[in-house]
Amino acid sequence: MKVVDLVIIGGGPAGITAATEAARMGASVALIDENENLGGKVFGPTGSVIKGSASDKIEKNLRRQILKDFDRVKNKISLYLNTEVWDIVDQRLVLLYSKSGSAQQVNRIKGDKLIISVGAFEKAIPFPGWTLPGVFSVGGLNTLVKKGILPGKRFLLAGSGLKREFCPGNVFCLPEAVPCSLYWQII
Amino acid sequence: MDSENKFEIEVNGKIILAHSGQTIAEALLANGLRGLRMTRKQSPRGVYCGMGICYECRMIVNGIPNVRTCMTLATPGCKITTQDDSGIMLEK
Amino acid sequence: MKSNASADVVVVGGGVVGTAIAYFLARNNLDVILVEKGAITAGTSGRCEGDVLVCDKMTAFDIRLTRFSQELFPEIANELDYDISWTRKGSLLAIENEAEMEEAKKLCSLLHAEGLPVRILDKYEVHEDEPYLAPDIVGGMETDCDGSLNPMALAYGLVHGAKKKGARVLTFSAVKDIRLDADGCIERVVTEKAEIVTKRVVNAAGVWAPEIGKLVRLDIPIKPRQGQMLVAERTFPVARRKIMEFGYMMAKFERSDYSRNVTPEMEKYGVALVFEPTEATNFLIGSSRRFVGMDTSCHIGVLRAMAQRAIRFFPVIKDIKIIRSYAGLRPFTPDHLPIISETEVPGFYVAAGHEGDGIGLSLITAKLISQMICGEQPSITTEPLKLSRFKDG
Repeated sequence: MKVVDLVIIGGGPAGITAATEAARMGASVALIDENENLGGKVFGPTGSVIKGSASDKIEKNLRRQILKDFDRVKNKISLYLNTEVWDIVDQRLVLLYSKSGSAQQVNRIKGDKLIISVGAFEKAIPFPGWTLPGVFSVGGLNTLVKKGILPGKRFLLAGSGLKREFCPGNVFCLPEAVPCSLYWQII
Repeated sequence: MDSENKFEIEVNGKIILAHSGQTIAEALLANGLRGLRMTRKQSPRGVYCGMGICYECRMIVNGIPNVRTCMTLATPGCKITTQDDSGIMLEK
Repeated sequence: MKSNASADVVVVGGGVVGTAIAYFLARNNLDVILVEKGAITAGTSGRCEGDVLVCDKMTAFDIRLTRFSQELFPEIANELDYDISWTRKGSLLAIENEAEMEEAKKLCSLLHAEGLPVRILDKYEVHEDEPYLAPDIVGGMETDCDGSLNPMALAYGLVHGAKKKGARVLTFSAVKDIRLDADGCIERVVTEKAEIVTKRVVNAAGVWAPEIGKLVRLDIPIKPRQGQMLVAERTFPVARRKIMEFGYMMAKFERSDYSRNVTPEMEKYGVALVFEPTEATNFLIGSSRRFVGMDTSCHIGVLRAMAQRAIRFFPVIKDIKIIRSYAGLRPFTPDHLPIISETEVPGFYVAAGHEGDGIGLSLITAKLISQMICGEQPSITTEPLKLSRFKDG
C-alpha cells in the first residue's frame, strides 16, 4: 500500500496546481484522475473549432503555463491516470480502480491529507422530453464543442443568465426560463 | 487532439471515421449518430452529461456491455454495437 | 391535515408493516391515520430486498405463519391498483457439500410435513437448472411457492389503497408522545404536526419500536441488526430466481454446531450468499449481519466478503460491475420471531421485530392485527408472538 503526505483526487486546473505547489514544498503527492490526460473539463484536450477568440488564447496560455509548472516537479509526484477512486475509508485511505487494467498494482493509497478537486456536475431539472437524443446538459455540450464537434446545426439553450444579444444566429435561447426564486426552491 | 490522425471504427456493422483523441460518443456524434440505445420501454437515449455520470450513452464496445462511450476513447478497428437494457446485443 | 384530529386507530410507522396494517384496517372500514417520521419506506423497507420466502424458516410455527402470509400476496397484488412487481419463481438453496446435503434432507422432511412444495435437486439437476453455479456445488433445495416483489412499490401501493378506502397518511410527522387517560388507556397521540385523539395505537415502527414503546413505558426488546447489499449492473440473467446458500440458515439462526468453509471476514460479518434478480434485470447480492447500532453506512470489509462469497457460488460474477451498495437495519428479536401482540397498555399493539422477514410477513401481520382490533378469530395462534413472552423469560 502506498503512503503519501497528500492525496489529490481530480487532475483539473485545481488538482494540477495543488500538486505542483505541494511537490515544490517537499510533500510526497499522489494525483489521481479518471481520464487519460490531465486538465479535466477546463484544460482537457481540445479540438480545432473556436480558433482565435480572445478567451481561446487566454485559455491556451493558462493551460500551457500550469502544465509547464507541473512538468518541472513531475518526478516528485505519483501520477495515476485512467484511475477511478471508488471509495474513501476513514477519510484517509483511498481505494483505486485502474481502468486500463494496467500492470501497476497500486489499488490503495493512504494520505495524511486529502484534497478533493473533482469539479462539478449539473443538477438537472427534468422536463417532458429531456431524455431524447439531442438534449444535452450544458457541460455535455461544452465538452463536445471544445473537442470541435457540433452535434447539430441549430441550438436551443435554456437556463437563467443567458443574454440573447450574445447568441449567434443559429442559437436560440430562453433566458430566465425559470425565475431565480423558483430555481433556488427546486434545488 | 490530433485531428490529422483518422481511423476507421465499426458501429452496428457500419464503418465510420474517428479522430485520434475522440471518445466513441464524440466520434458517433461527429458522424451524426445521436440515438445510442433504447430502454426497455422503447425510449431512445443518447449522450446527455458527457462526463460519465448519467450512463445514458452505454453501448457494447468490443464485446463488453454497458461501456460509457463518452468516457472511452475510440481506438482503430474497435467494434461498437447497440445493446438492450440488459447489455444484450440488439439485432439492428 | 388539521392540527387536531381523531381516528379509530393510529398506526405508527410507514414501512411495509405499517402500510399493510393501515390498508387492512381501512379495508375493514376503520378510520385510520398512519403516521411516519420521514417519508414512506424511509426506514428499513427502503433498504432491503423484496423476499417472500418460506425456504429460510426453521420452526413449524414460523413456516406456517409465513405460508399464511405468502398466500395473501397474489390476492393483494390483484386488489391494489398498483404495480408491485410480484413474481413467483420459487427459490433455491445452494448446497455446498455432503454435510449440508444431510441437513437439507432433514429440513426438506420438516417442510414436507407442513405441506410445502420443496424438492432436493442433485448435482446434475441443480446445474441444469442454474448453469452458472460453480461446478462443485453438490445440489440444491428448491421451494416452488417462494416469490419476490418490489418492497417500496408494495408499501406505496398499500398507502395508495388505504387512502382510497379513507385512511389518512401523515408523513414527516414523528410521534413525540402518547398520552394515557386516568385509567391508563390510550387517549391521544402527539406528533410533530398534529395531535390525534384515539383509543388505539399500533406500534409498527420497526427498529424504532422500542422508542415508541418507551412512550407508554413498555420494554420492547428489538435491536437493529445491520445488513449490507451490493447492487449489480443490468446484465444477462446469471440466475433466473432467488438463490441463497444453505449456510444462510446457519448464519441467520446463529447455529454454532455447524461450520461453513468461509474466510474469517465472512464469519465475523455473518456473510451468507443471497442472490436476487430484480424486475429491472439487474441483481442484488447480500447478505451480512452485524450489530452496529443504528449505523446504515457500508463497511468495505463486509462488501468485500459478500462479493467474494458471491463469486464462490457464481464465478461469472467476477466480471460484472457493481453500481452501488447500501445497508439496512433488521429489527431483531431474541427468538427470531416477530412481536404481533396486544400489550398490558389497553389499546396499544405492537407489530414489529420481523428481522429479515418483514416483507414476507407484512400481510399476515396486518391481518392478525386487524383481527385483534376487530375482535375476529385470528388466522393462526398468536401465542408465540406475544410481547409478554420476553417477560416470562
